[in-house]
Amino acid sequence: MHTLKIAASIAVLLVLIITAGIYTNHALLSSSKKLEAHIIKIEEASKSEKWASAKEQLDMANALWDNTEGAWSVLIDHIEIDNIKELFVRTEKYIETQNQSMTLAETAALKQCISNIPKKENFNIKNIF
Amino acid sequence: MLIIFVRTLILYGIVIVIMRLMGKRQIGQLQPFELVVAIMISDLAAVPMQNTGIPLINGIIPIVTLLIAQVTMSLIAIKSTKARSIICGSPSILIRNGEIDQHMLTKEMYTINDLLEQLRSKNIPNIADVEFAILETNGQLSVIPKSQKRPVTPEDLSIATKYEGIPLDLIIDGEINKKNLCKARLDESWLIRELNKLSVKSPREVFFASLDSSGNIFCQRKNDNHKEEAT
Repeated sequence: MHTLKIAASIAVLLVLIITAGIYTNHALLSSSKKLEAHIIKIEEASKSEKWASAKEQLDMANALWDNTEGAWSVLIDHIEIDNIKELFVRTEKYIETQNQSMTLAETAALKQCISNIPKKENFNIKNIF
Repeated sequence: MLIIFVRTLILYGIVIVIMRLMGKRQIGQLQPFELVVAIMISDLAAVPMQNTGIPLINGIIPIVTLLIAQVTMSLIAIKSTKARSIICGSPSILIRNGEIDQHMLTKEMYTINDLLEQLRSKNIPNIADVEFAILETNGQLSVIPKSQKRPVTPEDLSIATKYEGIPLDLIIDGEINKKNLCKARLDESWLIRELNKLSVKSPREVFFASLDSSGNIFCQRKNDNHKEEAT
């Protein structure tokens, strides 16, 4: 009876970990897609030199990032968080100075950084090894 | 600095809980797979303690995973003797019927010097006094001396002995252990009377008091090396 209780507790713990793992992967993918959508809009606005629109999209992306950052800090290395924050700051300055080439470069790097996060946390052979 | 302090406390608490959940044997004599787990847990806890860039969950999840793996292995070992022999190994007899098994010594990579050292630590300086020496799965050497060389027991001398049970702790650091008083079918008023006989006014003055199966009380006061015994 005692061993049955232990086995059941271990099974519950295992299910909790697997469920939490699946949920966090899904949450990371979902929030990164939302951020990427805003960054794509920033890119498009920069290409058309619509700097006010680019700034507006950046502010929305920043607001979304502020909400997302807390949850991501618990799950991923803080250095990745710091990198993303740095890219946001640089993008903001390039938009302010209306520097198209640098804005596009920074938004490309930001998109890459953000899309890498769920890829790194994905459950696959490449990430396991 | 405070971040590291708090993270260390959190991980320390988690490791203590995990080690307790793994069972008493984890803290005492370790099987090889238990030793591996203990070492891994300490390393896993140490990394996020020092590096605030690593999320705490990256230390906690592996430690919990090791708990799951460890308990599962232990359950399998309990249920299956074959699995137990694979996971834990089997004891090896190094001295059988007074004769050293040289083949087993080589197989276990145990030198004769190691064997003699272990025998001396068991207060058996002369290997000729050993009937059986068994190398257990946790690395400890169990020694069965020859019947003529073992300590004499009352049974050998046909001496009748009284039952000797476990002494019960009655007071630890001034606190009365009511559960043990109940086990001994005694009460606090009895205890206070007995303490008064030893010139102790209150249980609060007592550092440690115990009752053995013959009814003798051992009592030592706090901040005092004055030891009392009463029958």
